[in-house]
Amino acid sequence: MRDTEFAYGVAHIRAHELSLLSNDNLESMISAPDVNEALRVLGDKGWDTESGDISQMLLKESEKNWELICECLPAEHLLDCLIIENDFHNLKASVKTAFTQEEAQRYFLFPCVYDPEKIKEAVEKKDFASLPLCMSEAAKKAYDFLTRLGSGQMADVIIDRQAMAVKLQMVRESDSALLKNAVNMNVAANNIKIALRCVRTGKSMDFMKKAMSEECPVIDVETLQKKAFEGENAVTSYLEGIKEFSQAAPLLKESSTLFEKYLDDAIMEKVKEAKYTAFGVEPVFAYFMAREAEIKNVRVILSLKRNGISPDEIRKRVREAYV
Amino acid sequence: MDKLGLVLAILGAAMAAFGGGVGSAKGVGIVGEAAAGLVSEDPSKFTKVLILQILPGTQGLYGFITAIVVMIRTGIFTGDVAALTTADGLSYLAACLPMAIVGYFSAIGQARVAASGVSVIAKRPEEQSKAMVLAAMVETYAVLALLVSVLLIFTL
Repeated sequence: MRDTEFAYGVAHIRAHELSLLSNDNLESMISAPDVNEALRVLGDKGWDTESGDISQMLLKESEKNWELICECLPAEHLLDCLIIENDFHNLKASVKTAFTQEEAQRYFLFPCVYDPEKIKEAVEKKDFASLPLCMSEAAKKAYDFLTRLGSGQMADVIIDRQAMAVKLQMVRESDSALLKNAVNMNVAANNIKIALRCVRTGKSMDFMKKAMSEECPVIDVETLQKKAFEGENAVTSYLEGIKEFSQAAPLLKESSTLFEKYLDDAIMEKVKEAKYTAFGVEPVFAYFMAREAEIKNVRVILSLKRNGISPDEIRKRVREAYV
Repeated sequence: MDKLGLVLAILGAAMAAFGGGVGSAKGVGIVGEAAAGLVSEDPSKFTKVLILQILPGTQGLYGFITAIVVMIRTGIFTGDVAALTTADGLSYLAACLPMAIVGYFSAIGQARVAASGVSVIAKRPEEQSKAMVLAAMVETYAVLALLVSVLLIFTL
């Protein structure tokens, strides 16, 4: 695909970038005396804060973001890799609620590539063949684990691993090095988080092998598994030797929240390169990431503010803004 | 064989018009898409981006001028067609090549700069003149190619 085919989308995105929240806006929200004042900052930037229902507001913003991205792409499905995880989350919700009286709908995440109602229906009917090809086998396996062993955790592991595999497969077809880098970093970060959780909960090597994505261009998964088996310090030392994670590794000792924030900021730093790209998918992708980070920041600020957390503590958790 | 010279001259004129015209059509299209992307969000910037959209259209005009000059010089316009040797025809063809080739590529190049300029206007409308200057720089080479082609044709 020629990069000039994105001419419409890039110009459209540039116009929308003006309404992104800047670091100053985030600071105003953090230092606002209460949630209502923080919401007023959002209102000034064009957010629909009238309803007062924060989770609905954030959901709407997320859906609006994806609608805009779709409008800006010259062909469908070019950036589906960014939301495919939501589909696998919806699959998990459908598989798990198939055994309970709960409504799967309340766990569904949007935006998503496939209709979650159809996924739910297929799982309920055990008609796994009618699921999208990338999901059917993992869904059947996860369902079997739940039926035979009652293991919700293994069901999660199977579906999460497949989600990462599909995400990597989707991004492999992209021409964008920036998009590939960001997804590779995301997969690597996911593997690191799994490794840490396994260390902390004393999981076996076999479990780790089942849970982690085998394909991981940034880190050597086998080494990570071995280090995780040795302990948390071994994982940290290993990560210190990897360029992409060398600065993030010491944060692991402090808290995994800070580690995640560092990784998000590192990805955002890479994504910022798209500010100087005139054509191609990168500016559209960057805007999506910027908006998602913005929505995440708003969620963090409002929920911490509501719980009376101090501005200094909130600042530690807020991600770097794109603009 | 007598007609071959004239055929080559006409081919040259057609190439100049085709190169510049196709380049401009593509170029104006690219900038138009970018302009539509911005105007759909902010219609007030229509006039600012319209100027940028026009810029890659000049190569088509230059190609047209080159073709007309060839037609005048060879007498196609008046009906008094000059007897051209093959060498004459090839000379006309060669003289048209700068406009045909440079016209095509400069229009595309200029369109890329102008479309990027649309993004400049989207974020910093006060910098419109800079966006225009950047796009106009590419025009230099289209003008030079036009001059070379026309001067060569007049020397024949």
